[in-house]
Amino acid sequence: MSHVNFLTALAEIIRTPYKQHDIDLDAIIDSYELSPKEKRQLKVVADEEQVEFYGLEQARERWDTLYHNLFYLRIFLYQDVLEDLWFQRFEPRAQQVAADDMDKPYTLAYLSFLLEDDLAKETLIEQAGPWAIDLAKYERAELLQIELAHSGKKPVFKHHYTLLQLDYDIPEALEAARNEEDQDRISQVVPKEKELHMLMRGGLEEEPIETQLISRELWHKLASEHTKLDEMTTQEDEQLRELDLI
Amino acid sequence: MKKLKFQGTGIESASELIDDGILDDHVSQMEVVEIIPECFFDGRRQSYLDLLAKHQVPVIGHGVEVSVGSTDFNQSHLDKTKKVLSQVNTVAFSDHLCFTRNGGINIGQLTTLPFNQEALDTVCENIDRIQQQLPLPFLIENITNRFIVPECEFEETEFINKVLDNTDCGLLLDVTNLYTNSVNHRFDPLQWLAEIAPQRIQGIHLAGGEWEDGYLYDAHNSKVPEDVWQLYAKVLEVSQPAVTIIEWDLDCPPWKVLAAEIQKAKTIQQETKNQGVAHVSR
Repeated sequence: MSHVNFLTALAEIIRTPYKQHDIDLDAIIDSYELSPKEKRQLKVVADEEQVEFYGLEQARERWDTLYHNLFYLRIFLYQDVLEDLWFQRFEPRAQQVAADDMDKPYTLAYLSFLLEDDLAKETLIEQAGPWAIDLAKYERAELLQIELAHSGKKPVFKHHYTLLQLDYDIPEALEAARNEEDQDRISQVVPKEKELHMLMRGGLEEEPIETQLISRELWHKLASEHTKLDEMTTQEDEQLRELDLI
Repeated sequence: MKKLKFQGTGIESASELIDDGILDDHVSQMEVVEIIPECFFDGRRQSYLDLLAKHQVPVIGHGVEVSVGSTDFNQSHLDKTKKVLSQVNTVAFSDHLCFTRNGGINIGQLTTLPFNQEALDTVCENIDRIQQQLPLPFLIENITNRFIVPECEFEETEFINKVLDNTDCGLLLDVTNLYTNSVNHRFDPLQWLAEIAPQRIQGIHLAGGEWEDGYLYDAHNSKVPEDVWQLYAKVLEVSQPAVTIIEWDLDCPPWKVLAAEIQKAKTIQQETKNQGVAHVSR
């Protein structure tokens, strides 16, 4: 048991460079059941300059990949805003999330954090506007859709889809921003607040991702855990066929 | 020990090389290539696997996240690895003597284990699992050590030898890693080499590194340095590796540079053979 704890404690020390986060090393070590020798070994290792560099280097790689993956947020928000939130608040609580080597769990977790953490939400609204929350939501949904399309998992219907509910018409705003020379002007082109229920599909083998507006009723039916096709109305059935979902 | 048959000299199919299409026109002529299964888990590089399969190129699978040192072995990761390897002409599988995660905490990088009995038991148990499920020669690679856990029972070479003996697997000797460790931790690489059972060295990795703030990193972003080539020649004097792989992951050059690195390795193999000190088994 002790060896398990030793390796986990070592992983924690490397994953979250404790000095940078003002975390007490003894507190980390004492949170594991370890022999006095193991505690001594960990303290020596943790004190090595290269171990701190190593941890920071890994963190930097995680950030670089994450930032690269933030296709929309990195255009419309200042890097230091996103980076501060990442390092100060997200990183210390993301120890269990794998880096994005194989798929994008880390980026998805960061986007979820932005949508759930009060200070993060407050910062996004303050730095950009209330639409920034929806932009993060849209970014997450699109990334999820791409992951879903490539996952090879059996789709519920004919194709994978991702559902999202927004207050601002982000797809339209992004399209409008694309046509503007200055993309920072998204804040000026975001339409008036309204409740939108959307369905996203595509993303497999360079296929474009398309977002369609659907009714609130259909959204709720699709969002329910056990969607049954026979519960769809004729109109909904037609819409699903039009979307090539069934 | 499932001994790897002679495969020759080849290149690691780094993501950047695949994504930039640098290898596409040359795969069919390669003696052997190495692939990192994790790079194919999301299905996005399937066409490269198809290309390897079409030309039946001998492939060495080289895992980076199996984490043989973890106390909580990730079977689903191995399953995904097996699925990728089953699609090509895989002749061997390898991974690193390290851990990348434990107890749910994911470091994401190859991290040095404590060289003690508990770690040895875990590693051997996990390698046995791999060998039972993948009926291929399995090779374990020495990593660069950013730190060494103090007060451990074994030296690194003792630990490696015990792993090799207990599991009957081969050693993928990363000459660059050995050189890098010898520089950063100030030891004689030839002494280290002398302590390793030479018949266990079945594969070789060669790569370039870079200096930063007085520390040498195995950055895999440049040509193999002359010191590493010299050490490679020394390795060939005492062992008969079946495969030599050039690794170049970042800032990848055009094919002709990679081809020149492969050729240089072959020249050294031939020179060593001519000197009568090494015989690359066929």
